[in-house]
Amino acid sequence: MTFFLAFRNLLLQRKRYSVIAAAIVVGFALITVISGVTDGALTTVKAKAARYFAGHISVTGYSPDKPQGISDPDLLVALLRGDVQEVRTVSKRTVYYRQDASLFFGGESVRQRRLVGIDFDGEAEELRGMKFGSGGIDAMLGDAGRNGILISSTAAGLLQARVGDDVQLFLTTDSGQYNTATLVVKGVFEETSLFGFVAYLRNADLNPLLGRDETAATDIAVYAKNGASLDRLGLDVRDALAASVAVMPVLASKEDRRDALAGGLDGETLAVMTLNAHLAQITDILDAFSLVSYFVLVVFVIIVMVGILNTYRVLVYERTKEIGTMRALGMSRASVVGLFVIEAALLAGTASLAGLAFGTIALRLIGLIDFSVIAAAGMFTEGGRLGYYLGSRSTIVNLAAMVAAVMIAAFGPARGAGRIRPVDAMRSNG
Amino acid sequence: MKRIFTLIALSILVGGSSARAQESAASAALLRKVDSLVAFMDTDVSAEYRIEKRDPGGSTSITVAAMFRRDRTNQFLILILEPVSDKGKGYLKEGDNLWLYDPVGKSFTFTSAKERFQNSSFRNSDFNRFNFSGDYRAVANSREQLGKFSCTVLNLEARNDRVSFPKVKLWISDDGLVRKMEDYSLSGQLMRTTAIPSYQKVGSRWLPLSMVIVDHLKFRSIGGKMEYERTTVTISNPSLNKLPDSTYTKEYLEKVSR
Repeated sequence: MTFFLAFRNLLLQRKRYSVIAAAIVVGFALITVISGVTDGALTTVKAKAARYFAGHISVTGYSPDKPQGISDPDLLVALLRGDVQEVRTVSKRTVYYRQDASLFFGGESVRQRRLVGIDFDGEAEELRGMKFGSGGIDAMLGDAGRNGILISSTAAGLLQARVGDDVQLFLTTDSGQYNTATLVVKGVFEETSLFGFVAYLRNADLNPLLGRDETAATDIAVYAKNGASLDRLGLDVRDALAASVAVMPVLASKEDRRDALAGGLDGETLAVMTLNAHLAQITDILDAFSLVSYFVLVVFVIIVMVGILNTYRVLVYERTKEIGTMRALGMSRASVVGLFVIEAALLAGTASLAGLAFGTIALRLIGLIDFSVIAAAGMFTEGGRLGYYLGSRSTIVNLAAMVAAVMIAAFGPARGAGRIRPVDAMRSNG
Repeated sequence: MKRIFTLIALSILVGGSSARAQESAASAALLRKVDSLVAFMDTDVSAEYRIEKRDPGGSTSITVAAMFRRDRTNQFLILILEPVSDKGKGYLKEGDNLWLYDPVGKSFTFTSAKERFQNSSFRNSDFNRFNFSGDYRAVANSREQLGKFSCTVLNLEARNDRVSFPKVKLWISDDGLVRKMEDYSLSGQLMRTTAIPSYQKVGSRWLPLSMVIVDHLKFRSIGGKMEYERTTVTISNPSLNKLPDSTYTKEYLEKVSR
């Protein structure tokens, strides 16, 4: 009954509520856009980083006075495939960590921050998310990928190279000698951020150029199943390997790894790092952005709460006789308080849902904008477009927070309404 | 009859390997001669290097640097004089360590002898004296006329993996001076050709007067003709004056960079 009355009152008083409803709509649309963009940016960064580093969990081999490398990568792959739950893909990689690799074409050259040798047949499904301007992953599968290379749109632009062109790759072997190879561009992926100064080729092609065996690896890339906790999985991977080989303690950041290496190694030791550890600095930036955004939104919500408070004070005053009549007809004080609070909750809920709809539309519109002209945005965009992610959990939390804030604001005036005595209400001019 | 054939075959084998050993010894001796002609082991050597880089079909950039070298202790100091934007920048080599000094940040950073000098085809290691006899062994030799020079051509392979280029081909004129050099990558791709048409005599040794380096990785087709990045190095004002030990120190580099 109270709910029905609250709903009816909301409809009858809709003009009075319209301004405050509009404020809630705008506020919730803003919350939706900000959390959608922030979560989307983080999702995009993580997807790119998983390709750039080695999966969601990377396992890298370090030895004293030697370049990175794992002496028996097949053993580690077997251990991880057999012993660890929540693992989707395990694949060997050879990463060229020295930053002197260059690509040459048509008189131009571009340095690459790293070269990544991949077992494309084993890892192709994980790389499907890459956005290609031309060519693609499929061209690297099987023998067709032999002496092929995937370069970024940044590198392709600087070199003026296209799919099918022969580029010269220059690098140094593990012992420091110059080496070169002629490779065919098999794909140009859209990337303008720091993740763009990387080129992907078959590890069977990269290893001999470094003076290594074709089957060698510097890293094992571990991809987690959807929804798996990376920190938990990192620990599981470490535990699974620690039974057979030397592994560094849990590493929370690159600084931890640097400190572990500075302490000296007795022999080959593995470093297990989660994507969160690789991205500690980037996630810090995004967290700071989220914090500032939410601070602004908290201020906005407080303004909405003050608006609700004032609106309800006026409402209670104007509806004193109505309240008196309901009390005279036997409605309890609690029911009167409940009536106003439910009214506020319905208002907040409906307006927030409208805000969610508008926010989603705004996110879709933002997704149509090409941000590729802004170099700094490259890190957070895929093919120049800003992706968004609306998690059901965060949406429900946001909705609940907004409704709760409005109900709290309405509670004071509602309690005042509950205290009105019928006799006083009938005497009043309200 | 069978014994006679066996003896003939053995003598051919022995003779062949003996000839190869002689050839190898001759090549090694030639490399030692090449090294000794350009090494200043008993004194310091200093000179001014003018390095002119011409991009294929593009711009030209010029770097002038003062070079101070002590071959005996494997040290050198390079101080950039031009362009103005890089003036005061310097390189200090002490044994296997090479430091780059930045006068703006007043800081030293560790760099590699294998890096390009001022982004040209001239490498930091090219300021060093030749050490072909220590770093390479000849795997083939032949004779060839190179312009006016009658040359021995040696195909070299690295003895160790410290050197940048695993394979090198040298044209050595009869006076023991390198006239042309081709540097190859491990995969056998020609990376750089250096021509040294003229030398200048400094004391009893030789220093190139000019060098032309063609970078085979940096090229562009212009008007149907392939143009390569070309770096011309001119070495002037050579001197054998003895330099104080303090010349090859970070403090000295900091002082002269001011």
